[in-house]
Amino acid sequence: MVLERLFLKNFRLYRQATVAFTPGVNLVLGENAQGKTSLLEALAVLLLGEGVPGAGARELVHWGEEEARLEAEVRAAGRRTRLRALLKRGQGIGHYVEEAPVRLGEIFRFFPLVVFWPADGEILRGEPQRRRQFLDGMLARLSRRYLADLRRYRRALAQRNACLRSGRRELLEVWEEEMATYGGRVAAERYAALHFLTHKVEEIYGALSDGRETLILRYLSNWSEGKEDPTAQLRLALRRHRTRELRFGQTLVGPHRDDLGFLLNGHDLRSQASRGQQKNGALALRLAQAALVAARLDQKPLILLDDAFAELDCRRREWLARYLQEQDQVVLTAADGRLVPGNLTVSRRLSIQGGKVVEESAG
Amino acid sequence: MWYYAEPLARLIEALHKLPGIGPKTAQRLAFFLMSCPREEALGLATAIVQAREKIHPCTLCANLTDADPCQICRDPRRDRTVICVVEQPRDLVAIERTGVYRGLYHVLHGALSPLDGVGPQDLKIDQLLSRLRDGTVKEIILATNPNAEGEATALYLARLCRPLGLRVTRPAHGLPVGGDLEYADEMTLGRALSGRQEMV
Repeated sequence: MVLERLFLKNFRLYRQATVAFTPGVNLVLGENAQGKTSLLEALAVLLLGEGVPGAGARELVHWGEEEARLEAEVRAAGRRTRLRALLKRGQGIGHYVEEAPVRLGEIFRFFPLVVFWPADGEILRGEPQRRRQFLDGMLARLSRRYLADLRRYRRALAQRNACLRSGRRELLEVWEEEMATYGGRVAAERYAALHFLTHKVEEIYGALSDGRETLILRYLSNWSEGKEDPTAQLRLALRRHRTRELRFGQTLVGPHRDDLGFLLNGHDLRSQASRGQQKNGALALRLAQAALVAARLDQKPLILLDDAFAELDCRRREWLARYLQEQDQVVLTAADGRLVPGNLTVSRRLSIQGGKVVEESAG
Repeated sequence: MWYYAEPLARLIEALHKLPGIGPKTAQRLAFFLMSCPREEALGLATAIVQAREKIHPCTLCANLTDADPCQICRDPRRDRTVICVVEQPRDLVAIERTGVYRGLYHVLHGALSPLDGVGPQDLKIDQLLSRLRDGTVKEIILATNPNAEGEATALYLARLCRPLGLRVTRPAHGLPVGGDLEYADEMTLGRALSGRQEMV
């Protein structure tokens, strides 16, 4: 599964551009604000339906234009397939395979993608909401059933909250049963994913830090004590909290309140870590996510790394270079070619300037 | 809407309030009613008035009927030991079309939804319970929708009915008959697979 070509029209600062990619490591060089990040963002919009976190989805379409178009040619099992996204100003994004409109999740499961953005440190240090979004977004893309279970859980939660607000105690039980069934499934999926991610994050962060630091990932829940029968645990917890929750008018326990905890060398990362450590933690998390996607879909995802080398020291850069070499296809950006470690074999090199590819070369 | 004569504007507005009718369709229907034979248009108006006047919920099953009790409740050939509970009259019609079911019905006219302020007293639940009291009914089939509100309603009713010593059942979920596997949506297929049965 290889991305061969990306076509952009009226996307951010790009008027019109065609970019070719090869298997292995593709390196995108360019100074700041020339369109490196937007190139990765185009792929993220096309394959994940979302751009750089917090970077204003409204300005995705080039200033003064009504519509942007993104197209990717990918090759799978000897066959070329064209994926397309149409962005209309002020409206949503339409996704297509060849000419047929498709659900976003289908595109992801056909051609998976994992992106690391410099702002991903926010996943580790931001509000719990941010970490739940990370987890739910990842699992919903991997399985439509997860998304359906999550929606069903949220619906039951809203109904139970309405009962709590209006003080209808006699109706709580039936909504708790719905919440327990679907929330239990959501939690079970999260526990299973966490089991995988925890090992991977520990392994990758350990290697990134030359074995000097440890990063442990944990699922934090105020209602479950482990992955055994989450439905039964949730049913019990909801019943137990009824009286208190009737006072608050909302449900205080359940998967919608759960969080991920990151322990750096045994301490909560949010209070201890430097910016560099947080960024490395986020990088480890994204690479672990890529490994999870590969294991679940039986296919290595395309990996995009935006400015990943910037804050790493020399040994970490070299370790990352070795890790990326083992992936099927990677696109990474760097403002400065001198940051790219000498042991990284680059299969294609692009220079970007003012929304145009000004130079391309193999290796 | 200054470009429509006032009675026409009122008609368009009234049609626009119907489910599934947008402003353009409302306009098309209104102009059609103005141009079709007079009897046809008046016939439609009379049909609406008569249906509204004559149709009311059956005092037993709450299905919409012009007689009381309704045709199904009066039919001596129907099995009086089974009641199938549905959310809407249209669900009853769907089950009748199968021609498989020969028992009685009960129409709730909705499902539990605290978000929309719908509680048990807004559904025909008391009426249902009073039908169960004389001991004729042995089984109750909870055929509410398989969405969150329908499941919760089914569960609520199950809790009420079980202490009465009734058999409480729910229709199985599965693949549409006559459909090809490849066209079934993933969720239906997933549910059908997890509820698979032994071959006999």
